[in-house]
Amino acid sequence: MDQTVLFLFFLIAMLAGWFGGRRVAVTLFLFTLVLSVADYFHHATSALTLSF
Amino acid sequence: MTARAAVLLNALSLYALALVLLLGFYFQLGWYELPCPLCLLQRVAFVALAVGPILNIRYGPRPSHYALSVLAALVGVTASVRQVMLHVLPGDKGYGSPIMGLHFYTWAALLFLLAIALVAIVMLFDRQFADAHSPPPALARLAVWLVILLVAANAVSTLLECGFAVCPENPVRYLLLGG
Repeated sequence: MDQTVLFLFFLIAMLAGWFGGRRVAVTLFLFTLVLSVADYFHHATSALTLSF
Repeated sequence: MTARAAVLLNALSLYALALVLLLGFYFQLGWYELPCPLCLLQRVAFVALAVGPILNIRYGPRPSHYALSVLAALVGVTASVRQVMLHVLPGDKGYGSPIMGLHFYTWAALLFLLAIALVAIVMLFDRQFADAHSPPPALARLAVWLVILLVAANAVSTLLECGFAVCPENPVRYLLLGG
């Protein structure tokens, strides 16, 4: 569901940009990118057995 | 580089992104390898990578459009390198089938890094930002609609796979299809 929403938001950003709403497209893009990062932190929870 | 040449390069990048998304569908539908949440996030980042070129094609090349692509690629690198690290230890067979020896997420990491490098190289040519913008050629408009169609297909397939909940870590069936 979370990634479905991300795909849909980027889809809307693309359509908005293509049909003349550049500012809406850029704003929605940035908002969705932040959501994507939040979703990444939600899923990237497994401990990595690595040392750096 | 003229604005027209830059628009054509942006269209080519959209075709390349469409190829990546089609390859994902090939493994998902042909080999029944359902994408995990991190795999889906990498697809999302590839989709985000397409927004900048679409704006460049529609409004003419602008540095801010290229910046969107770099930000998208950075998110993609983060998700794909994270998955590489999850499977990097000896004995780990990785997630999904390898393509020419590398798993999808390893290819993804390389492609996102390549995208950042290519954007930087294309941005070196200042003339594209000064030229007057003309209507995009048919080849570019076709690329835009191809990508938009593939993004819609990804939204539908992800909804079928994950349903209305958070996607399982190791999906084995389409939750909405009950199969």
